[in-house]
Amino acid sequence: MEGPSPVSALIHAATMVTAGVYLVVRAHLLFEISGVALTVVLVVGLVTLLYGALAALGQDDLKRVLAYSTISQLGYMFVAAGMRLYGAAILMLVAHAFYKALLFLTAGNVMHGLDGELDMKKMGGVRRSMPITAVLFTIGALALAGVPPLAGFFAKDHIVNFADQTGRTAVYLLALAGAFISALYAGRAAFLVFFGTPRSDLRGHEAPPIMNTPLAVLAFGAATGGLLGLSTENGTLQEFLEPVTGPLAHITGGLSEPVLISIAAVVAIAGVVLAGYVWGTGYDWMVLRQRLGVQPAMEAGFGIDALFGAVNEIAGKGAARFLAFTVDRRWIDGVVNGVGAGARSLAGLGRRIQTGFVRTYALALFMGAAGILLYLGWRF
Amino acid sequence: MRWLSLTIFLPLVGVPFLLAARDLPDRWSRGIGLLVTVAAFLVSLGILANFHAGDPGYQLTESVTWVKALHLRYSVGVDGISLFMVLLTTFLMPLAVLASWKVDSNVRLFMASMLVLETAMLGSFLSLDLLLFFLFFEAILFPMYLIIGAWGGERRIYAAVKFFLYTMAGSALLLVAILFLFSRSGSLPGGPTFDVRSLAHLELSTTAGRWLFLAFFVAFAVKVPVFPLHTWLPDAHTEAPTAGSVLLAGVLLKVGAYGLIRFNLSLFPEASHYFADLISILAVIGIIYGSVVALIQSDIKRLVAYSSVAHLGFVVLGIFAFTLQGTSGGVLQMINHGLSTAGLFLIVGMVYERTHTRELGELGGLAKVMPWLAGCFLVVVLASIGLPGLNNFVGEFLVVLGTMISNVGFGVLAASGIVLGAIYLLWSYQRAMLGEVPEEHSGHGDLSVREVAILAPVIALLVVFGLRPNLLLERIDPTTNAVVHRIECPPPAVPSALPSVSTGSAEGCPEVAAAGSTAGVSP
Repeated sequence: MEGPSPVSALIHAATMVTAGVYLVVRAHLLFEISGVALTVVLVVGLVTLLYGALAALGQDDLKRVLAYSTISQLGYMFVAAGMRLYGAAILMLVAHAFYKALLFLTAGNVMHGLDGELDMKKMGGVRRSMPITAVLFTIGALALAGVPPLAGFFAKDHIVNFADQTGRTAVYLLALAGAFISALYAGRAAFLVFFGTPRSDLRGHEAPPIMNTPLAVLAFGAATGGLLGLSTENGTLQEFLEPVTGPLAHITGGLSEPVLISIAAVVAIAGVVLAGYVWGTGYDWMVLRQRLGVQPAMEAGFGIDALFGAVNEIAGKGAARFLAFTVDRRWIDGVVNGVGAGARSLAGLGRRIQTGFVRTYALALFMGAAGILLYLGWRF
Repeated sequence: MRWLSLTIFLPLVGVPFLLAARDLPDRWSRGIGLLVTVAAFLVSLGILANFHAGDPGYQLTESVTWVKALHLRYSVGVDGISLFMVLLTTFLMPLAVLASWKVDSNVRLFMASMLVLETAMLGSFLSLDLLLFFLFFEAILFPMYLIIGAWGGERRIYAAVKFFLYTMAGSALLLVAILFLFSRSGSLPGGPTFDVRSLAHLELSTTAGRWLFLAFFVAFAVKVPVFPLHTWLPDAHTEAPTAGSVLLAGVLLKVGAYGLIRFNLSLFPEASHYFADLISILAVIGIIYGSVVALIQSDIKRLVAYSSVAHLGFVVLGIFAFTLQGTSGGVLQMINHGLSTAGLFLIVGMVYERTHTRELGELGGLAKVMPWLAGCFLVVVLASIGLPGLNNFVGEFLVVLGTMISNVGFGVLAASGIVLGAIYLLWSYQRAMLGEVPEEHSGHGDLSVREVAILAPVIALLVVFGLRPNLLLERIDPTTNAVVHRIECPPPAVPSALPSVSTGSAEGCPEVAAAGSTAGVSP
């Protein structure tokens, strides 16, 4: 997130963070043997997706929105893996790589155009100075929001619907809520940055074609990536992976597929529309945040960072300091130096006898001789 | 060709010149030091060339009666364990001499001490006679005492005396144990002897074996150092001049670990088994404790010193896992640690020569001022952490694997030490090399030609041994396999002395023999 935009794009979208999902899918046999491990994966994924979505909604820094959004999207992938829906997890991984890389790089365009500014409070109306970037970002944001027929819709749709079809109603509802929040923050970012009126005197400039051309490729992927897996069971990608991942769990019921798809589409579109209403049409978003009163917690990522920092600072460094300066220096080395000091003071006692004065030695000699004589006299 | 004797005593050739010529210019003293150490390195390559990789026993042996009345023989020989200790020593010596180019007081005496030190270290690794080993082992102390005490930092006298007394205390026990062994050796076919090869067949009572093991162990544990006998190390490392730190970390600590394998394991197999768990626990404590304490150090030399405590914990843990992977990994890790920690001390010395501070708080941003030095530092730091592709990874991997086979708990704890290693080393790198440059350090120059000549060979070997560990393992494995086999399957001559382990070890024997070689494991 603090890295340069291409690095963020690579780390957050395509490679590093999604390695965890890849590993779960790769090692799915181990997870399945365990019995409980997949449930853990599912629950962790669910918590992660809601946590990331809410935290993303609370950020004012454009790249932080995207970073927390990545956490949330990874949650979806874990939920999918936890339900043994490995094909959809990988589909989401691929789709996410397209639109999140696109979003990070367009965010880089914005940052570059606005002299390094990332605070969305100071943006607004950037589409006038950066029209191409605006279009590209909007495609990415809509894909992220899960608006049909972009890539994010299909990927997320399979996961959310499958929860209902296998009787996991609570998972379904929470994942659906997460999808709504995703649409909300994705729309919020797009509207705050590119739409409305400028809120500061920053005037951007469009990025050169050499930067926008690769983004167009990513935008194409973000728009059409869903074609890789149109259907939950027999999409191209899922069939490709089936020899490795095995057949899908049996669908036991739930609502019919068209109904589920419609609900997912409505939720995504509703989220974007609401975002447009709140942040795009001149509504004072500062007021909303004050009314809700939850912004600080969301912006701070619910204090997880601070908690880790505090644990590290207090427990970690405290323990290290105790070991280094009390245990090591005082106790262990104290014993070592104590042995040395003991030998020294013992030698000090012995040294007292060696005064260097002849009279002392003469006295000792005399006492000794007297002692021996007395002993001999007593003995015989 | 008597390659071993030639290598051991070649360094001494320079000493008379250095001591006799009172008015020798400093340039000449340095030149003699460099010339002789380079020559010793080249000669030691002859040992490598004549070494047969598949032979687990002692090779190129020489044996001459020295003092008949004492039954002291000059017996030397090399095997898979000592081979690379010798090469590591002769490899690091010229680099240590080069790193001491800026020493400008009593250069003559400094170089003479270095050369005597080299002979003593080489003799320790190659002796097959216990008394001869003891003489060389003790002979290490004097030059090192001088190097720390005369050319060290502010608290050099305290550090030198502490180093000397601490090691001497251990040596006293060692000498008593050696003499006791000698007193019992009359029953052996060749009569009383100090020869390790004969003493290995000595029948000892279980109690005697265990007490002797402890005496040997304490002497070597001080050197390694095994927790909690380590507190001389941070002081000695910190106060020693760069060359002293390099040789302390690179070679001297290995003398202790080498002694554990060579003498404790081969002379007292039953006691080795008996104490293995206890020693493994100390080793694991050393790994974690050393890492955590290193984490909070502000003096970068102290930090590297504590990192040695942790890394040597891996070595000891591997040795006492009694699996081929663990013991080979332990020996491999001795070499790896010798290279990477020597590299760390060399670079820290270069930084100190420029900035005159070792406090991390006073450093920062040096990567902007000296990018090449920072780049070399990064490679060495990554190697120390155990990044795959660099040398330490292979050794740590084998140690953890070998430990897992014998004890899962120790393996898990040791693996956590690797993570801690990454934390303290990367954090110290960040504090020293990244961020803003303090005003007073913004004018320093990058690496000189001499410094490139020091670092390039080290870094080259970090990469080579990271990618081709088999260069080392195929020579180490036969010997460690024999050592492990001896521990796990005691020779039939002494089964009566080993009632407690005879059932447990019998099952393990075919496995050890079948395990064959770790040379198949490579990244």
